Amino acid sequence: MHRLREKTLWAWASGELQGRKAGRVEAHVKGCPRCAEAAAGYRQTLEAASSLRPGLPDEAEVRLQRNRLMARIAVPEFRPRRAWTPQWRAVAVFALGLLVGLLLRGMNIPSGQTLTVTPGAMAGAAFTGLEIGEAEGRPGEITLRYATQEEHAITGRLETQAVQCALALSLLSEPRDNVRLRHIDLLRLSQDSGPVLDALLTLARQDSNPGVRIKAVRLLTPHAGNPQVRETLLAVYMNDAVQGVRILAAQGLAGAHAPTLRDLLKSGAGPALALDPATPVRGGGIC
Amino acid sequence: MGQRPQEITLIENAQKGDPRAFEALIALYDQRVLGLLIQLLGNGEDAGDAYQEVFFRVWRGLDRFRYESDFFTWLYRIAVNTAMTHRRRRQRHRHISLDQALDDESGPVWEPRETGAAPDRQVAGKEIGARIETALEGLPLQQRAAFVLRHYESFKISEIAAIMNCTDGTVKNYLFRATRKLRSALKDLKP
Repeated sequence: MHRLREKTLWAWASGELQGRKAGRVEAHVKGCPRCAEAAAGYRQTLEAASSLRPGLPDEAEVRLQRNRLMARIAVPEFRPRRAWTPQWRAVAVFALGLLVGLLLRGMNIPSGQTLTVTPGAMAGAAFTGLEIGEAEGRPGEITLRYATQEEHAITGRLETQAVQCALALSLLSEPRDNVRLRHIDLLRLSQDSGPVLDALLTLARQDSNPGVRIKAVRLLTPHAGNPQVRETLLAVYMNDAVQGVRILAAQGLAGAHAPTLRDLLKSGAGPALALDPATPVRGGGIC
Repeated sequence: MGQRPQEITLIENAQKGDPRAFEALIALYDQRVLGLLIQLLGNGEDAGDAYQEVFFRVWRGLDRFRYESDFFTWLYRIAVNTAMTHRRRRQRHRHISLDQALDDESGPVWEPRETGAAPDRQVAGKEIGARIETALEGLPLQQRAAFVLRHYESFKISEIAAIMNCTDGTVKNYLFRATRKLRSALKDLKP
């Protein structure tokens, strides 16, 4: 006799099948002892599992966790990265547009090609999306797209300041973790790249994705001689929620500016710092 | 589950950086979230750590919440992802707390659905609960998450798919495999 698939029997027994399909299965089960037994097994399992429910945790325990969280977010360094207000976005994008306009003169654009980036077109725009692909027929160049009310794009060599600025601004407001993760590697930090440095400092401290924070720390580490970078690495080492990120920041500080970390440890902050500054202390802690 | 007006106001104020609004917002859901994390991670200590990470991520990422889903769904997505990360991390680095008792009893507490159950049913319920807990512990986390969300949090398949960022079909696969494994683990239980 034809047997039904186990998954079909499970779906019927658990009520996931509806309508005529459920009716066909029911009719079959009535006449097939083996399928009936299998279906009954699934139903009994679900009934046993559903006869109980996991209790909710104690209100006191919840309040303890909530208070601990609120104490942590009260620290100014943990203020969230806020999306740029429309006014600031317009200013930033206009400034970027002007910069792009000035730098276009130095870009190797074949005649006949026009870029759609102009200050007017970008006014009021926001980097709500980010796609980077190799520019067609132009090796070594990328096309960075961003969406406003229309699609816009900027094309140029990756290392040019215009593209780097656009990339940095895009990453700061890009909501998709996987996109930020992929494209942060394209940032190049050099002497004059103010917006890129600002973006990396912000991403290292405040990005919600630990992978992005790790990459930002890695990109900043070679520049740990810069006071702003050092300060950020220190803040990340002290406060990041993820141990891997803290270790990387510590390595960056230790490698590039060893005295800072050694000074910390010698300063009498205690053994907790030597181990892991963010290790939660349970029960009778040392500190 | 639609967005309630009171909740929208709290979200908007929290997005502006108001910690009191944020606290009021999370107070609507954090007990359930902690309960879910205990379910997924199997003990209160890991669940507490995961709670901190979940709501810290919510705090830092709230400005990017754009009502593409319910806040509750978005929150649960973060919670499930965080639990998965924790569990993978725990499997790589076995950490034994000096304060942890040898027989840790901070796991989920099971109680009969029917209220006012007789004492013998309560005892039987505890035994079944222990067996279910052991069986759930042995499931891969995606299957466990899908099973818990369906049978204990009463989410629909489509809602679970939104939370776990997968298709309805994938959720059904997880549920089927989880139930099949539970059936093996519980087959000697009398109906």
